[in-house]
Amino acid sequence: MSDVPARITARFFLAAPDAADPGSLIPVFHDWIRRGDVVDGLLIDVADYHHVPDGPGVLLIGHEWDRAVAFDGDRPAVVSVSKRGLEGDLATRVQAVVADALHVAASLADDPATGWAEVALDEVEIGIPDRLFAPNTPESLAAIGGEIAAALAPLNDGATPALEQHGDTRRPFRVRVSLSGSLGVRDAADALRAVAA
Amino acid sequence: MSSRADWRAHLAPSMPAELAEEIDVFEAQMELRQQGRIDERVFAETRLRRGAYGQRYDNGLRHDGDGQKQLRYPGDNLTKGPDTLWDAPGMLRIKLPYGGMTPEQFEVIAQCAEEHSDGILHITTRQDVQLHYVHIEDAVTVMRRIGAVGITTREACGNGVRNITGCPVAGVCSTEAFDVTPYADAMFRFLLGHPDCQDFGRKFKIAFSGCPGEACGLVMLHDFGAIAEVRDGVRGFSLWVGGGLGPTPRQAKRMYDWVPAAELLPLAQAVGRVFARLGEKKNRNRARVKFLMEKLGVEEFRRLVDEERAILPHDDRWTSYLPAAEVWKDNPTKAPAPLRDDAELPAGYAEWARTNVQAQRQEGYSVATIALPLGDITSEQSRRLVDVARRYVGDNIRTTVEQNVVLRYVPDADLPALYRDLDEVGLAAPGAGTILDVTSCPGTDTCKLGIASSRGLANELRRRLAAASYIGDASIEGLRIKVSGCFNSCGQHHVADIGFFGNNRKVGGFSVPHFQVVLGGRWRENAGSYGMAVGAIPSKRIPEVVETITTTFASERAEDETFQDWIARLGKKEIGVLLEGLKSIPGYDEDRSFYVDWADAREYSVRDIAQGECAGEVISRTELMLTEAEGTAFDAQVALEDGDLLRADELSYRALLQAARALVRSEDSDIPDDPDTIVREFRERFYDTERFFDRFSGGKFARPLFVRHADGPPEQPDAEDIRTLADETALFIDAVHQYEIRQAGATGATV
Repeated sequence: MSDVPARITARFFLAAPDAADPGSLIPVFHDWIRRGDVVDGLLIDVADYHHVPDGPGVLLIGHEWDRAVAFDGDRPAVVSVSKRGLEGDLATRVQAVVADALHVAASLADDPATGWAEVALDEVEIGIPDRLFAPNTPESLAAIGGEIAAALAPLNDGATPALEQHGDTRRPFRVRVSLSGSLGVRDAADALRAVAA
Repeated sequence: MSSRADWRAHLAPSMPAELAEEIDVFEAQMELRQQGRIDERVFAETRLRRGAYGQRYDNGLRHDGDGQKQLRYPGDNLTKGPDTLWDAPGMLRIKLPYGGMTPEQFEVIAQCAEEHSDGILHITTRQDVQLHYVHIEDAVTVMRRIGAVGITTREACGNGVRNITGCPVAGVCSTEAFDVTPYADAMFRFLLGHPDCQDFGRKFKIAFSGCPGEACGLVMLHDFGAIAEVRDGVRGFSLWVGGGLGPTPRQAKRMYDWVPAAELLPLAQAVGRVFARLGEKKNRNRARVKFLMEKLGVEEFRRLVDEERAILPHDDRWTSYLPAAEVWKDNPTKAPAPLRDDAELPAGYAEWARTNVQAQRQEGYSVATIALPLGDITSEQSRRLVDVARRYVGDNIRTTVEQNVVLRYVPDADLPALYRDLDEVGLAAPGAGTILDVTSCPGTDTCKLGIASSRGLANELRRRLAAASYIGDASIEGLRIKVSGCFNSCGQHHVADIGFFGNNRKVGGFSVPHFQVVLGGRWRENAGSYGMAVGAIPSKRIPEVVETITTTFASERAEDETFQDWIARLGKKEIGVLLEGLKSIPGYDEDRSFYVDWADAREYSVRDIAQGECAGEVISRTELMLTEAEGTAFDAQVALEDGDLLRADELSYRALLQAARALVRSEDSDIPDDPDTIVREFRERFYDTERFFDRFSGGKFARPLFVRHADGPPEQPDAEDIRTLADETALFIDAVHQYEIRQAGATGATV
């Protein structure tokens, strides 16, 4: 098996979930594609699934990354999914994905049309949708949980945060990370990028 | 991510050997394409026949509203087909014959969607599941993962036999003659990869229906259809050929009034042979069976099929399944039970039950329909639905041509509990099979051919209709709306009461998305008649079209007048008057929203339309078989590098046989896959006659075939000998290619 997964997800939950307006993401994501300098990587298209209840919402599809505001958890969340191109060990990759999600959240919040997309920084959910690398089992948590937690210490004022694993073993590996850091969204993204680099 | 090799090794114990080998060969062909050793056209058709389809913008160009921009993929402009970049994401189509799947299969597809796609399973109008935004290199892993649970993407696209559709209520319906499931299943297995179905100029779609009256199988719009009928106590079918939609829609013609079930497979094979032999190959716009049928006439077509049938070599598979089919029965998980009059019913249940529940022929059981918005369901919902299915119905899950999922054999007593469980996962929406249940193809969302946003429009219609008070009228509620993004009709708009297909109009120098309105198609009677096109309307006014048509119908129809009769009575002229006011478009500076499509933000453009892959590439069967041989030879080299000498020897020999068979098959389509016959036929036809010889090398490249065939596998494998064999195998394949090129030069044909 490969040592490090390519596909990693990070999701930050919206601070004001009731304010979410998925339709407003469509012009913003199209604009990001047109501008080409808002987020990293090759951007391909916008996929609108906001008709699907509890679905992935509106996705900005890219070659290396997909980004979205998704509605498929217990609260809407800004999500980044790395698909290819990341380098380094698992911790470095997790930091890169979380930094990307924070950057996406900040960029959305900065746009008047999607200003509702402010995220809370008290937790982040990390997923590894790769059942062969990391089935959603206690053994996987034991094997890689420590590395994930340590990677996110910069968002927790340097302390190793606590992880909680989703129980359903049929789902992809997913842990919720509790945070109590003092950084804002942009600063948190910058801090992680600096560490990952 | 776990690599292809990781998954290959992990799944090896659970993969059927033949399928594992097929996918290995495809993987080898991918590597050869990456090395530039396979032509992009040949690889495109190979890829399509493995169900891996192109997707919008995969030519690396995308209009962003200001102009067409380059999408700079890595990969040095490597392509996986003409104008189709290797790294651009594509669509993978998974075949589900008659829409059937087990909970385990459903769950594995869901896993693949969240690990290799965007987390959405899209149910198509032909009962397939499509995953979008799949990288070609991930597609191979998906093929293996679903293959390990008994499903395939093979021939889901390209010029072959596509998924076989069938009535989703087969076996439980009160109007059917008998359950067509085992017959559809037998035909699916019989024709999958059948040599007689590899030389088509276009795709070939098959449907089964249990009765003539209902819609279910939509036989009339298929290339080949079978409707069940019992005569004198014998099961059989009426056979229909030459239906199709697209820009020139045709209703299928009744080619055989009735044939016993024993004749079903051989006649399908014979039709395939006639189509392969006489169907158009050069002009793909005229290459479907319907055009051949039109050219020949039904009598002549039947005569040719009869003639072909008479000379078909016998195949035990034609009838070997029949005893089991006669006694085929579903396996309900729970015993039937009536719904008690005093049962406690949850809020919302009554409305859901009214539209989404259908009583089965078997007393005490019902079919429950899960209405999926635009055919989409998430991986997580799929998993939860699988749990629900396991609890109530077990294996009795099917997709439908209306892009929904049905659960069969739900005990009536369990219906309220089922509703509660579905509601918990957002899958208890009412309105299945009503005007709210709008069908749509992918359109401009992902299709290279899409002209207008069919999904955007369909979603807007769903949203508005759900809030409209007028749909409470019973005459309106039962109408069906279907939307296609272009004239190719994947949304099946021809058989809707109210159908639309996308087109483009220029207004003041600007492109404006429009939809052609098609009214009065007949869904019942297996898609009994096609609707009438009444004019193009700006996309943004289509919701008004729906409201105008439906409310006028409700208020002006004669008592008991059907929608089809009403449309026929009004005629094109009166309908034109009714819709005339909706054709106007405000100027660009007055209202730019008309110049932007639904669910989009870019100024509308048709520049993103690219060459579609529906038709595939017309590549000779010989060329495709040689590509397979090259894939096998490549695997032999890999085995050699791994030090697995016996496997390298065996694969080299197999590649030699594949290449020889490819050549023999160009003259004898019935050449069996038997080494003795292949070598004998090759020798007699091509070697002894010296036709295979070239002027410099004579026939020396054929010698390894003869020697290895005569000697058998080595008792003491010698690395040097096997390396020589592997190298000579590649030379033999190349010599066959050269022979093909010489032949093409002699006849002026294109290889």
